[in-house]
Amino acid sequence: MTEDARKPLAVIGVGNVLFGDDGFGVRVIWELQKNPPSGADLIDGGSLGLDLLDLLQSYWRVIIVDAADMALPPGTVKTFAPDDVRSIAPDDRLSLHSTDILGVIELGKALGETLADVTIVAVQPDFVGPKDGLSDVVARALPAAVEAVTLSAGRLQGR
Amino acid sequence: MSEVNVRVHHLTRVEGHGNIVVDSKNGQVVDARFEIVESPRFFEAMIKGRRRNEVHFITSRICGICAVGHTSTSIQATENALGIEISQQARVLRKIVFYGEQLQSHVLHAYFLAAPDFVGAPSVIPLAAKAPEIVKRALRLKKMANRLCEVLAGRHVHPIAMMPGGFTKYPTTKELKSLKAELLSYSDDVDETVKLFASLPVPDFAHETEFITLKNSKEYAFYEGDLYSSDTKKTTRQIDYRTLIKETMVDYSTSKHCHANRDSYMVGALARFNNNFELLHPRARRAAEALKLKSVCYNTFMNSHAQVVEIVHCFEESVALIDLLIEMTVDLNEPLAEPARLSGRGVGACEVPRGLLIHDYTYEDGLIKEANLIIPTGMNLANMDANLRALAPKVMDKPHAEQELLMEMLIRAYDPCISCSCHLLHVEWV
Repeated sequence: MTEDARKPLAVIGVGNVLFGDDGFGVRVIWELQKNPPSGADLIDGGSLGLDLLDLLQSYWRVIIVDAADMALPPGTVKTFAPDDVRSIAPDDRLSLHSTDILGVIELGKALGETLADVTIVAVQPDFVGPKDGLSDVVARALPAAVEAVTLSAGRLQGR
Repeated sequence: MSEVNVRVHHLTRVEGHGNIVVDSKNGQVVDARFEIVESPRFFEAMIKGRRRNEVHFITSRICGICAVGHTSTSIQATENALGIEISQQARVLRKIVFYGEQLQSHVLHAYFLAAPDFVGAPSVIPLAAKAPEIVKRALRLKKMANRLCEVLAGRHVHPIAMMPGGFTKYPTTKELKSLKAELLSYSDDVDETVKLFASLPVPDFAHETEFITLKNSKEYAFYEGDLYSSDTKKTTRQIDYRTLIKETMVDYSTSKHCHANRDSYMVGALARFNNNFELLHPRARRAAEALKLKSVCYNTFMNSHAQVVEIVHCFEESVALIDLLIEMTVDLNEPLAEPARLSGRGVGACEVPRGLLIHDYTYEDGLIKEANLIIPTGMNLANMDANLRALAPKVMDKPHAEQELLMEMLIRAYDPCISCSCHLLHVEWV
């Protein structure tokens, strides 16, 4: 994509809504759609895998909303940059079927691509397993995540 | 005496978790299995009580890479259960979207999961650093395939426009012509993919097996057909799949095993190539020649090469079907076809990238009462065990590291999708 064709900002919710708290990111997008932050494209990323790389090349800035095991109390919402963490995923793999954000960023850098500036808004999950819905404690974190995304979107757009 | 004792915990570069266990004693293979350690997913239970217009949205979220496959098969099961007849334009459009998913899945498996082994790279990331043009080509082809799905179904991951009865939005002639031009611009990348795989050394292996796929008389079957066995050379109607395919439990695997006329059978690209070779597009048949792939091929390692042949076939067929849609002049306002009844049983069966997928639904008063899903990787598990058992004696004299690599490559060749889409980040603060 040419530099001129890049769009300013996307908020991408990733995860599988059939896997309990794993679907948190997508459900945050569904909440944001009721009152979208101005200037940002909202994307229900679902279980996208390497397609994330395409999005990182299509925008200048991206906020990714996801569930993350951060060794924090369930329901805690944190905002951070990829450089603030390292992956300790049990398997060192880049899956095609699920979204390994840090792996996709690493691949993009290995290819010498210019990637969007990434901010991650993540929740510590309580239950990840077959379930169409969030656990109670993580469902209560939805407003905090919506607020974190809205604040980040404003800050990234210089407001 | 040479032995083979291989343990691979959580095989990498496959989707999901599985362990390879192969043991010999006094030169005889005593154990050979691929253990599935993922928990069951219970999707059949999740769709019980759901309405006909929401079932496929749920099943599309089973997986991010075979979302169109699950959506299509689910919709077929619903349409067959409730007597919904779709139009020709809807049928053509569904096929193009289906081919789009085959393309993107095969490209990614061939380049990102299989190719690193063939070129001695531990994963795609060092491959990207060493040969970025190869990885960039894969990503370009994936993007092309995504465009097909985006323009025609709203998006690839969890498509939006596909519904029982047709589509909620149809593409305009202008969009179709633009899409075709875009597609054709990637033709050289398709040729380069064939050349790359023709240059890679393939391990020598042959294990005679039964192949089960869809088959129909008019085309290389992906979207519709009867079930066909290479053993009996007979077809079975989709609704009667249980007379052909039997599911059993095994104590070392959380996934069921399947068998038909033997203890195991194979599904997927190689199975389709073997059963339907004569219906491939001529350009795809030339690709098969370049890849030294001939029907009947019993070398599981060539499944990736069969996928490359299907990349060529799906590319050409997508262009041809876009031309057909343009010629038909799509009715942009066509409504969704309505059901003839609200109760009944129907089966949908499609050849998704990894092989035959079956959705079996029983509706009562418009709601799902019973469901059964058989996933292609589940169908392949017993054959993976049989393949490991066949390979083990042939690698007894090799160094352990080579034994392990060949067994990993063998399982990877199936392009298994074990878990589908639970992806949690695991991080520590730096």
